[in-house]
Formats: sequence, structure tokens, C-alpha cells
Amino acid sequence: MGSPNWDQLKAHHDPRLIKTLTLLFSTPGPLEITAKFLSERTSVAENECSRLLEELAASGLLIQTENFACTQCERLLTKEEVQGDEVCPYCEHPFAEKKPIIVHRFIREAPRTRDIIWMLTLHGMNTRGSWQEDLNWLVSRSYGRMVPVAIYKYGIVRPGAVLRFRQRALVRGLIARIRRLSGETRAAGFGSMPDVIAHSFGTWLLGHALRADPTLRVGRVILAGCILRPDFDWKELIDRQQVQAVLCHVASKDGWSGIAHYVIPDSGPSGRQGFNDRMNIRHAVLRGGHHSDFFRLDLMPGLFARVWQPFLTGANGKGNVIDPGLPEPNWSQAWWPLRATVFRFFVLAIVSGLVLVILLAVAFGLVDLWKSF
Amino acid sequence: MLVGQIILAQGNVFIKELLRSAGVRIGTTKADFERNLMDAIDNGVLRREDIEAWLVEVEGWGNQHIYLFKVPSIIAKDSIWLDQAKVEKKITASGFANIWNAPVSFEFPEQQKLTGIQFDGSNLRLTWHQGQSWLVRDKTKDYGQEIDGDEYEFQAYRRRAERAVMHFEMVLPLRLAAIFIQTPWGEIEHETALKEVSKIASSIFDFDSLEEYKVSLAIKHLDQLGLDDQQGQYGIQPSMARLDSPGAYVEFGSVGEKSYQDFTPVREVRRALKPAYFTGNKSDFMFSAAPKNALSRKIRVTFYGKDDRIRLWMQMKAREVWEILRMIKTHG
Repeated sequence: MGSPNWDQLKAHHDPRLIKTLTLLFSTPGPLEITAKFLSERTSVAENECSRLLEELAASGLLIQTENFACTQCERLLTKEEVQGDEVCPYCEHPFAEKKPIIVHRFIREAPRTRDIIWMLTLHGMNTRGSWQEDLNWLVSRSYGRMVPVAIYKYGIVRPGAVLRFRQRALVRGLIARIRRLSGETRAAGFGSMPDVIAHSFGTWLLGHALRADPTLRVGRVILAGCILRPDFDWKELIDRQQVQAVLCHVASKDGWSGIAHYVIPDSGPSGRQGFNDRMNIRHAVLRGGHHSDFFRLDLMPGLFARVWQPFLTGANGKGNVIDPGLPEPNWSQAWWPLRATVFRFFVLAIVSGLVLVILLAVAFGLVDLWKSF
Repeated sequence: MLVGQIILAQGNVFIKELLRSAGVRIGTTKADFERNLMDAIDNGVLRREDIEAWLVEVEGWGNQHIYLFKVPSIIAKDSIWLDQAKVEKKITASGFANIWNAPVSFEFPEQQKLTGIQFDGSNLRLTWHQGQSWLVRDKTKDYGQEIDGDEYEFQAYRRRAERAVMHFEMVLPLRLAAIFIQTPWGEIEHETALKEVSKIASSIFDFDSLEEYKVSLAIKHLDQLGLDDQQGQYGIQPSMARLDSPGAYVEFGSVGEKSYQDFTPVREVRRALKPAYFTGNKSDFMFSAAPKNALSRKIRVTFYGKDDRIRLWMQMKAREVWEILRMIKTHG
């Protein structure tokens, strides 16, 4: 069922009705309305409400049903319940006093939505992730209840990202943090599994933490500026019930994601061209976007409302609509000397050499300066 | 014919099953069932053993109130249950030799009467029956007659009989015991029934050691399970839940057949509630077929926290009732 053409309806229905129905239709999940409910909510006459609802039913946007209801508790009753008992089976109101009435309901069938219980955010290696605070504020304002957002900061790790021993330490740190937070949320009455929003090196850490510890579990995962290999086996993690669903938000001009494969071991440009597995991973594309554009203050609220929130709360996180802006899923790794095997040491040596040259230049400069005095 | 009356008092779906299993033509109305049933009994197609086995599974299950108990180790591990002869000896000594492993009674006693005690090595079952009858108008049998020059109209009523069944059953492998009462809810009536069960059961084992199941906790836990089971794995959905805190309460409910938790705005409100501060007062759950249970249809169950009572709203089979109680024990 789609959405009504509200502008067209406004032309010949009370605007209060249209305003209320617009709000009700924007709420995901099933919807059940009666003309009486709409009338009480808008102060518009019940027959006018009926006229609009019947119009929506005639256009296939709602399904009209007819049911018996108890006059006391307003519960709907089956024919058997009306005929079989002398009292309402729910509130025990005697039917002899007042017989059940017929109620016309207008229904939008939809599966139950999913709840975000708590969220974990992981930043990239180049920043301390100020976007995490902005996202936290955004999530806090989006629900009528508290949705805790845990912000994990592991610091700036530019050289560490290319060294295996440092990567392993960071993965262990993330596993320990998720375990601790999960224990705390469980004890506080929330669920133990977080939904995760990760950026850049945070995506790499998450993927490898889940692979390293098969008992680690998270809910739905959003990857932005992802640097995991496009052939990373998410399906295995989904099948092991370590992950419920994955959304890879691709930025078509993500340069860092393109470079990662050559300097960071076991990485790849999934943030630029998506994962090869289009069956199990959902993809979205930020056209013209760069590596960190997802978290720009002018973009993030819109992306959260249009892309991330529907993915996190939709009944099914797996289905995939292939965005025409998404490159073909045909990535394969580079020739081994070029990828982050020996090449990263070459890069590290050049960077170290440059740093050494700069330090020497500064030192010699200082010596010359001292001599000149 | 009493047997026929007992059979016809059961739900149509179960009667059809009985007739189908015996290879008898079923028909569509209760009158068809009755005619075909009587023919089958008269012709010997439907034997007493078939009817007894069917009644054990069907009569007195569902459409009833349940008081649930946990069976503690001290009872479950008692050596008496390892030897059927010892159980028989105990029951005989208590004066119930005449009903030990008795076949299904077809009596309609006016007063509630203990009609059978069975133990099959793991389940102890005590069964009580009470007959009740009433008149049902049957216009097809009306007739008029002229007597002494006056016209008389005779209006026909048919007498229908039904039996209320009360069970006590202790299932040792599940570590559960339950009292099943078909008498409509009334504090005094149920208290009397519970006392009767306690009196008889106490002569066989230490009935007072059974731990009364806290229904108020089950309300909270099952309601939370419905909330957390986003994939519908368990098939337990609340349509109403009233949760109390000292001096105030909050009630969630849906008007239709869906769970209140299906509706996002109301579920958001429920999510904001910390169950630790609340006590379950009353709730209505729909138990339905799901990957993690063995049910095959929807069954409405009401929980009453204040008197630790569970109410099943439709006729069921014994195994369906026990599957529901198993689910309550596991998740509640």
C-alpha cells in the first residue's frame, strides 16, 4: 500500500483531517483507524471522517472491515464470541445490558517495525569522531524514549592501522568494550545487542572483531566510508547470528576507501564500490559524497531519517534495492606486492624517512641558529 | 445414551477428528455428527477403547482455569515415583483402590466426584467429574393435539447433559503440577475446589511442598518476551497487559486481534517502562504457532496476577495445554 496524494485530498476534505492522517500514515507499522477515533482527534464530524476513510479504502490505500465490538471495553469480538457468550469474554460486561455494536475499521496492513535498543558508534582512524556526539544528539531527539548511544573512542591510530600487532590490540580492545557495554545494558534492562554505526577504520575493526570472536553479537550494522574488503564474508556472520543485517552506505567519491587496500592489511574499497555480496548486504549510495560526508551537519539528519532509520527499524533488514549509482560487484584484490603486504612497509619507510629528514633539518637548523649567535 | 452425550459436548473439531479416525462419515451439523456417531457405536465401528483414548486427550482440556505449581526436588526425586507398585500401595492405603487406574468414567454425578487416579511412571493424574443438564428448545419436535375438544400446543425441549471435569496433574519430567478447573470463576467455588484437590493429593504426597507459580511474574516476563522477540520466534503476543506500581497502574491494550506491541507508538511507550518497578496484574496473550513451540493454532490465554490464575479460552487437547504450560514455565 502506498501513500495518498495529500495535496489532492486537501482540495475537498477538511485540512485538520489531512494533517492528522498525514501524521498517522507517516508512522511505520500497522494502522487501524475508525471514523470515531478520527473525529475525536480532529473535532471534525464523524460522517466527514467516514467519507475520507471510505475514499482512501476505495483507492486501495486502506482496507475497510466490519466487526462487532463490546460497548464497554471496545474490544473487537468474533461472531462466535458474540453468539456464544452472554458476557464479553474480555471485560465480562453482560450483553443483555447493551448488545455489541458493529464497528467499521480502516486498516493498513504492515509488519511490526523493529526497535533500536541501544547503539554503538565507532569512528575512523584519522579523527576522534566528533560526529559521534552529533549522532548521539540526533538519536536522543528522534524517539519518545531513551535510546542509549555508546561512543567508543580508540584515539587516532594512523601508523597503528597498518601494523598487524597494533590492529590485533585494537580488535581486542573493541571486543572487550562491546562485552562490557552489553553486560551493562543487559543489567539495566535493555537488550544486550547494540546496533552499530561505524565509519572508516571503525568498520574494519568491527568486521574483524566479529570474525575474531564468534560469540560476539550485534544487531543491525551501518557501515559508512567502509574499508573492509568488498569480498568480506558477512553472510557467514549473519548465518552464525552474530549480525542481524548490514547496510553499506557507499560514497561515490570516497578516496580514502580506494587507497586503504594498498596500506591497511586485509582491507578494500567497499565504501566506494560496495560489497560483492548484493544478496545479503543492503546498499545505499551517497552520490558525489566523500569519505566523511555522511556526518556533515547539513547531511546527517536527512540521511538518518531517509536511509539509516528505515534500515534499523524496518521489519526486514535484508532485502536489497540496487541503486543504479552502485558500481558492479566485481572487485578482486590487487597483485600481492601492490596490496598492503610489502607496500605498506614501503609507505611506512617513506613516511618515516620524511619524518627523519624533517627532524634532521630542524636539528641542523637549530645548530646553525645556535652557531650564528 | 450417556457416552453420546459426553462426546457431543466436546467441540466440533474434536468430534470430527474422532469420527474421521474411525473412518466414519462425518457430516456437517451437530445433528449429523450425532446420527453418524450413534450408528458407529451401534455397529461396533467405534469401540469403547477408541472413545476412552479420545476422551482422555480431549475432555476437560482447555476452556478452564489453571493453578500452576513448580514441583520441587524433594517431591520430584522421591523414590516412590520410581516404582509404580509403591504408588499403587500408597493410593490403595488412602482408600482409593476402586479408582486406581480406572477406565474413563461415563458417569454424570450430581456432586463433584473423584472418578480416577492414574500414574504412568511420570505423570500423576487425579480426575473429578460433575454432571449438569439443561433443556434446549427443539421446535422440530413440537406438535399440536386436540384433547377433549380443545386445541393443545406441545412445545419440545431436549435435555442436554454436560460434564465439568476437574484435574490435578503432576508431570515429573517437566517439574510442573497444575489444577485444572472448569467451574466458572468465583472465589469461593474455586477455593472449595482447590481444598478438595489439596485434601486428596496430600494423601499421596506432600502437596504443601509444591511451589505456587507466581503469575504476576509470568505476566511481566512474557510481556517483555513479546517485546524482545522481534522475529516472532516464540509466538507469544500480548493483546493486553496491566502493570501495577504502588498506588497507580498502566494498561496497554489493542482493540483488535493484533498485539498492542505491533503498534509502534504504543510499543515505544512500553519500551520506556522499567519492568523492575512494576507488578503484573492482568494480561491477555495470544499463543500461536512459531518456530520455538509445538503449537499449531492460535490460543488465547489470560493471566490473573492477583489470584495466580491462568485462563484458557478454548477447548484444546491435553498436549496443547501442556505445551502452553511448558512455554509459561520456560519463559515466564
